[in-house]
Amino acid sequence: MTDNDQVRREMRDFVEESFLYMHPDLELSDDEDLLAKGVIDSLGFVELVEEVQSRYGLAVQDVEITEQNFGSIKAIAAFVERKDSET
Amino acid sequence: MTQQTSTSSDFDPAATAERLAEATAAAVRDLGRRGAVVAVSGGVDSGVCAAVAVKGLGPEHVLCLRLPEKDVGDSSSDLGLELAEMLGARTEEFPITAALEGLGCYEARDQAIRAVFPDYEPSWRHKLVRSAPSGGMIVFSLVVERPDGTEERRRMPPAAYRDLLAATNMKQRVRKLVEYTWADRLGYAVIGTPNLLEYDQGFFVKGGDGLADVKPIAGLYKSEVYALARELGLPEGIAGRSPTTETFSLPQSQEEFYFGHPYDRMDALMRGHREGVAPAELAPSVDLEAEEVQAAYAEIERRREATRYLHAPAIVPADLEEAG
Repeated sequence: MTDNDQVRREMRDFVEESFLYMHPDLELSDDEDLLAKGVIDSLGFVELVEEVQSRYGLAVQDVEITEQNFGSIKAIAAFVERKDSET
Repeated sequence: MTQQTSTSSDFDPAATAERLAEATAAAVRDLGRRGAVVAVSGGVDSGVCAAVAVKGLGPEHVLCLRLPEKDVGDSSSDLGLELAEMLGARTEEFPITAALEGLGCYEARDQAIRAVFPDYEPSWRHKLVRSAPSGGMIVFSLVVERPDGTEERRRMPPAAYRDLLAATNMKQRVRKLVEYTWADRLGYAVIGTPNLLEYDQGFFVKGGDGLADVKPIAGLYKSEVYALARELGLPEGIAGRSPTTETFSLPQSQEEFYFGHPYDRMDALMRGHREGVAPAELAPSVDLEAEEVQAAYAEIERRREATRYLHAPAIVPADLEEAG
């Protein structure tokens, strides 16, 4: 089973390494909207999806690429936990 | 396919054509150039730009360049020739396929496609399409047409997407290289052909079709460009032609690649957004729900932000220091 806190830590690290260097003064909490905050654009979300797929061995369908599932670090962790429990 | 025109009631095509022709001629002269180069793709935007340039500068001061490329085919160049002959302007044809082959454009493109479809062959037609507009994330997929005619669609991983765009953007940049070569030769300015939707939403390639000296129709909605095409008497094959991307080998509309809505609805959405019309008020006129209009407004804003870099001129640190 994937630990929710661990996913949050790993996704936060990924977002910081991949995207936050462009926003050095931005404070981002786990439940803040990545799109609304301007942290990530559409292509960035697909990068997030790729990371989730490869890191956690999950298959993400197009219809699952939504703000509900990938809109924040908290949402991603919940999505991974849910997908993991389905397998 | 014949396009309908739906312009605002106060749009006057004749007066607009006159105003743009004068402004374009004044801009070219102000730049110290003796004429204008227009790359004519066979589409309505470049057709109107060429006609406006001829109206303002006279046909002897306009060069219509035809730049055919193997994925687009010869029909565009044929339409460009018909246009130039109608306008009485000089025209030259310069096929760009060999240059693109030399630069490795097609090879890089094919490699990017094989990252998604490993069995892809260069003879297969293909295109890039986006997900339906939701106001949120946009997912890009690659569509290929197999030899038996079946189409298959797969999501593009970010690296392959970037590689594919980088490769195909060479087309716009090579076209621009040829335009400026002719501009240098003749002492002309280069005319850019984006309309308001493309210009506002960053639907152009930096250093490619985004690069120009004068952009006559960047303030016109697409439906206004179609109305101008009629006013200027452009050939039917151009005045009624659907907007395409001129980039991929499968027929591809701007709607499925970028805007997510047909151009006439996109015009109305853009106008509504710029004029602050509430989504619920606009919704019935564009055949959408208020939530869908809200989602379109959100996309308009996000695209502006995402493409800010495309509009940005080079930054000179010394200027920033002076301003700061």
